[in-house]
Order: sequence, then structure tokens, then C-alpha cells
Amino acid sequence: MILKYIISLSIALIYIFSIAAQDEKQMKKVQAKNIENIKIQEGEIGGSFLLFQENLFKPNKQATGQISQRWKRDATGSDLKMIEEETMDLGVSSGASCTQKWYRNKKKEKIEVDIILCPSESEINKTIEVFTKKMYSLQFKQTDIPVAGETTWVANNPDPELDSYSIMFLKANVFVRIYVNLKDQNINELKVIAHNLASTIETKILTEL
Amino acid sequence: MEREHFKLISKKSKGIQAKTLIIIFLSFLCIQFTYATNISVWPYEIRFNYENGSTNDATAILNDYGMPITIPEWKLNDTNEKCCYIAGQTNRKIQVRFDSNCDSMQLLINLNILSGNGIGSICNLFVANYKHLEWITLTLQGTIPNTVDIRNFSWEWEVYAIPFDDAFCAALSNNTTTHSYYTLLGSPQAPMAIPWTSVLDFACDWASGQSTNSSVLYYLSYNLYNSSGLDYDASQSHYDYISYPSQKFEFNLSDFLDEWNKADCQDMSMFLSILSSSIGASLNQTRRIQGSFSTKSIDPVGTTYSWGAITWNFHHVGWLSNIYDPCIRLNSSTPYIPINTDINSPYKADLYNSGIWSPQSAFILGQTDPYWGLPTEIR
Repeated sequence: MILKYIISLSIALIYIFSIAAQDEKQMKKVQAKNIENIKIQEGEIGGSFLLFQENLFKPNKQATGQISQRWKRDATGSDLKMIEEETMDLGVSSGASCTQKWYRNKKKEKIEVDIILCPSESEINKTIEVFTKKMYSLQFKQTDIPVAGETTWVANNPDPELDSYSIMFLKANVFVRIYVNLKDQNINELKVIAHNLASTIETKILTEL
Repeated sequence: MEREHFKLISKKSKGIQAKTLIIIFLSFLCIQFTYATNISVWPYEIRFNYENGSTNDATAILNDYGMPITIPEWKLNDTNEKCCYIAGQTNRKIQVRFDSNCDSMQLLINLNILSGNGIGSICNLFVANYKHLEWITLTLQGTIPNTVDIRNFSWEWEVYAIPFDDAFCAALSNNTTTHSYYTLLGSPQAPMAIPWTSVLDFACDWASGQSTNSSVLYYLSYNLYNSSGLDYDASQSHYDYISYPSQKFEFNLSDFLDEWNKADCQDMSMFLSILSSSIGASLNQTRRIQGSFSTKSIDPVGTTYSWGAITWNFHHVGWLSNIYDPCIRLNSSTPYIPINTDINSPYKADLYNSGIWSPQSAFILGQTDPYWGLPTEIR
């Protein structure tokens, strides 16, 4: 009788803890509606970099459904303008994403930032698979110690003289990709810039969790 | 006596009146002769692509960023866009309208090529009852050259005009206009059925002087590897996955051309298919070779990488029954760019070292990418 009681109590506790763990996981998600709080804002990348393109996919605050926007700057002196907007009702929780292209030096130097807010565990896994193994022909390897977030991947470059550096990381339900290509900088300087940017985004994510 | 005197005075005054009238008439003629202006006629606007298709006129093209080009392509002191013709094209008409200091006239037009290899000429074309700034269609004589190129030429417009207005005298007007045109191997096809000028600038330069499909494809591939100035970087791509809302892949050609800096195998092979199809050559497919696999020693495009082995998730090539791969050189002892190379031997034999080698079906940009199962497009 006592044994039965102990077993029942254990099962109940496991159930309660698993629910609590799930709640904790849910609590540690960045809400899709807050995508614009964690994206890199104008002025946050120094060194004369200008945001030339931004594709934003976010929940439509005015109604149910999602909104997709493309923003573009024609030239250095002009403003960022919205060139395309589409609203849609996908019927499911669709997360959010923001992809940005920053340029300087007549577009010969570039920083790309992709931020993807995944709505579910399966979407997180799918995003990791696509970005680290399918999108780019160069392989991305998981680092032993995360440089940013809970897990970090870096490009498996065979040539240390390469003038670009790429890093991806996962923090909670947010997958981030940063690509930096600068002239006349060695790989260590590129790493510092990419890691600082990763750190800036991670701090923003933490404030939203 | 008085009557005689009166008659004399009357005769005298009649003589004075007649003299006056003659003087006035001669003065009028003199004024007419002195102040009659020569008619002047000059080309004001020219349309090269004025109707659908390219049976009679120039082939449709888009500007550097894929937006519609200005038509009329030529406007006095304002616009001078390039136009585009198929090699050997015989039927060519243009539309022109002339400005003039006179409203209506008869015209005799001679259009001569002053310099360069022009698109045609006109000999003694009579145009009756021409109204100032009215569009007329002119049929050109001669043929377009048989080789791919970007050509410049100048036209001398000799227009003899006979005015209907007496205030003007018939006269010959001479004016010169200068133009540039692309000569394509054949009609452009998908994925670049309406070519961008920024693409044609490369394609017609790199395949300059060629008149066969095989030689055009050879020089496009060869120059894409050797002369583009692009630098290999496999950790970024202009072939982007757009997850929402459309779930598709876009080859961002505008950004690729705008940056003209880094390129991966997808960029190189897709751009080759775009170059080829823009000038009517027959390579318009690309193909993914799914891995991952380690390579033998290869030499990717540009100066950053030298000979060495790489491990890839996949590779991407141009495809026309054989491999066209402007992204790498193989075989360090006898280096070559794979152009019209069999996929297994020597291509795989010289590239592949170990791992998975799984070629996917070939596809044309704009169709479904068979690996991803998603639609594709050029932006």
C-alpha cells in the first residue's frame, strides 16, 4: 500500500516537474511580436556601416496574422524606405525573422545579420539544420565552448587568410547568423567584430526572456 | 488748255501710282527673298524597340536592375540607351520623329553610317506630307553582324526638306547621332528572357567576337573564372532562402551585381546560366551535387584561396549535358576550368576525394529547385 502510494507520488511529482520544465521553456522564449526589440538598430554598428536592406517578418499587431516588409536604401544619402509590404493569415504561430544587410566602402564591405525567432522546438531544429548544413556549401562546426548563446557554430574555413568570418548561435528560441566581410583586416579582427555583434544581440535577447 | 493740263496731271499721277505699286511689289519680293528662312529638320527622338517581339525591331531589354528601359531609347540632349539585336538579323525598322522650324513638309531622307559597325542605313526615302514631331517608321538596309559584341556607331542624318510654307526655303539638314547596341547569339531565353543591361555588359564583352554556341559558353565560363575579379567565399551566398511568406529561393542578382565582390558556387553557376541565356546561348540550367564530401586539391575563383582541399556540404555547377563550373580549377598538375566536362570522368575523378556524392536533377532558375522542392526566382 505504502509502495503504491510512493509510486503514485513519484509519478505525480515527475509530471508536475515536467510541466514546470515545459513552462520554464515556454517562459524562456522571445515572443515573436518583440522581434524589433532584438534586431540591430541604425547606429548600433559603428565604423560607418549603413543599413541598406532589411526584410522583416512579424506578427501583425493590428490584427491576427503576419506581416512581411522589405525595406531598402537606394544610396548612402537616402533614407531607408519600405518597398514592399504583404499581410497574411497563415493560421498557425509563425514566429518572426529579420534579415539585414549593412554596407560601407561602396558595398565592398558587408555585414549580414539574420535573426530567426522559432515558434517551436521542431522549428529550431529545422532552422539549425538548414543554416548549418544546407544553405552554405562551407560546413559550419559546433564549437566546444559557445562563443555566444547556448550553442555556437563557426564556418570551417580551410584558409586562415580569408577576409570574411561567419558565426551562428542559438539562444533560447532565437537563431542568429552573422557574416562579416571587411577589407584589410585579419581574421582575428573580423572575429572581434562578429563576436561583439553577437554579444550585442544576445544581450537584447536576454532582456526579452 | 485747262483740260490738256488736267490730262497731263492725270497721266503723271497715274504714272506715279504705277511706279509706286511696282516699287511696293518689288520691295515685297525683295523682302520675301531677303528674309525667307531655310527649313531645318533634325532627329528629336528614336525608338529601336517599339513593338512586341523582335521580328522587325530591337529585342526588349531591361536596365541594370531589371527595371524597364526608357523608350524612346534616344532623345535629343536627354537620353541615349543601348539597344539590342540578334546576330545576323535582317529585318530592322526604327521609329523616328523629327523636330523642325517648320510645321509641314516633304522629306527626302538619307541615313548613313559615319563611323563604327551600325545597324543599317537608308537611301533616298521620300516622306510626303510630314508633320513636325510626327512618328514615322523607317526600314533599315543591311544586316546585323554575325558575332556577339557591344558595338558603337554614329549615324549622319541627311534630310532634304521642302516646306509647304512659303516663308521657308527648301534646304538640306545634316545631323549626327551616336548609338550603342548589343549583338546577341540568339533570342534570349529563361531565366533571362528579357536581359538586364548589367548582365549583357558582361556577356557581350566576355563572348565578344564569338558566333557559335560552344565558343560562347567556353568564353563565358573562362572569363567568369579568370576576368571577373570575384573572390570565392562559401560561407555566404546570393541564392537566399526566403522562408516567409512565400517559401522560396531567390537569386539576388541585383545585390550580386551591386556588390561584385564575393561569390560561392551557387552564385557562379547561376550567374553563368544567366549570362548564357541572356545572349541566347543554350546553357540555362544549374545542378546541385549534394554531399557532404571532401575535395582533392582545387583552386577556387579569385585570389583569396590557392590550391587546397575543402570539405563541402554540397557543390553547384552549370549544366548542359555536361558540367560547366566557372567556380574552380581542377588538377593542380595540369590545371583546367571544367567546361563541357563529363560529370564522372574527368570531373568527379579530379574533384571528389571522399564522402557522399549525390547529383540532384538540373533546373532552371524560375522553376522549382528539386533539392529544396521550392520555387525559385531572380530578384
